[in-house]
Amino acid sequence: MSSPMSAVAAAFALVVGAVAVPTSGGKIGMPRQLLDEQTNSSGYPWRPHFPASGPWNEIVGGEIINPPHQFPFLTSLQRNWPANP
Amino acid sequence: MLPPASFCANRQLAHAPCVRSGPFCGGSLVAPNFILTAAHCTEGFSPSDLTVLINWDDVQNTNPAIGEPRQISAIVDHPDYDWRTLENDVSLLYFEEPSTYRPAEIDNGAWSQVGQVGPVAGWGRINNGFPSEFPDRPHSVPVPVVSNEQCNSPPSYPGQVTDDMICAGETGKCSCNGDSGGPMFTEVEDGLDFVTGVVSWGAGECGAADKFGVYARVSWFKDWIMSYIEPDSPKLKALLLEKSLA
Repeated sequence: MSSPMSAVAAAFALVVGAVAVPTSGGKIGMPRQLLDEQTNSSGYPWRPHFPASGPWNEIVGGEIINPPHQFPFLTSLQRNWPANP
Repeated sequence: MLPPASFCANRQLAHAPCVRSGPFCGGSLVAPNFILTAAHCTEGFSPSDLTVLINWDDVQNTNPAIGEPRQISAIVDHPDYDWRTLENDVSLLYFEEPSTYRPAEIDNGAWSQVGQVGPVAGWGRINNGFPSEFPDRPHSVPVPVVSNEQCNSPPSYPGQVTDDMICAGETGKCSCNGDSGGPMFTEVEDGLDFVTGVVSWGAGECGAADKFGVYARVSWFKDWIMSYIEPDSPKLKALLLEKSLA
């Protein structure tokens, strides 16, 4: 990240309007496999397709942030908003 | 709240239309015109696809009294992002109309020491099992930072955790699908928060024992981030120039 090559690369890597689509080739590592497994296991982002029932339902998500707006820098990313809230 | 989620993460479907609603990733306002998020969150997107909702509480409310929507006009992925290994999994989203909210600070390493406990926050999945539950309002859970040595060894993720990553969590407390890109942070005092991690990846079972959440280590990327968000940034000027010519 701090190598001279990175600095040069950064100068030419302004992704203006570009799409970060992975290219083919190279070995997929465990992190990517886990990421994909997790995504696929939840049905996310294809919510309508997740199974209707399952063996267990452990809540691990913490608590609703209260009071609301406690962390004003917190942001969500949306696609085609507000048509697709 | 648990480890990461990516949009169209399944490579076979990566270029197919993805039907979804709601927030698909999180982010942090780090400058009036910039959101820090995960690079894997931008896969498959062009800037015009993306809107960020800043300081928004209930994402089902399209017109709240508090909160700012911003249309993204440029995506700046880290130049060394590797989608296979999720190294350098950070991205900056630029928008034109400045936010009026106070940005989070960028950690320099002081707030991400082993044992430091801070919240991770987002609209990600809040349960294991089925059906998956995704909240309309953001959740947070405090997670302790663990050493890369521990996280990079059995029974966690042997050989997979690189210096640009930071691990945090404990059994039952973790980030999860949909939290990707969102912040792990430290509240130093009221209204002063340092972002220490960007939700990146983790085990499929969120919050499983020894399966920590893995984050992009924000302090590792501080110079790169600052190079865009600092006043009179040459990189920002180049970005805007390129955008104007596009």
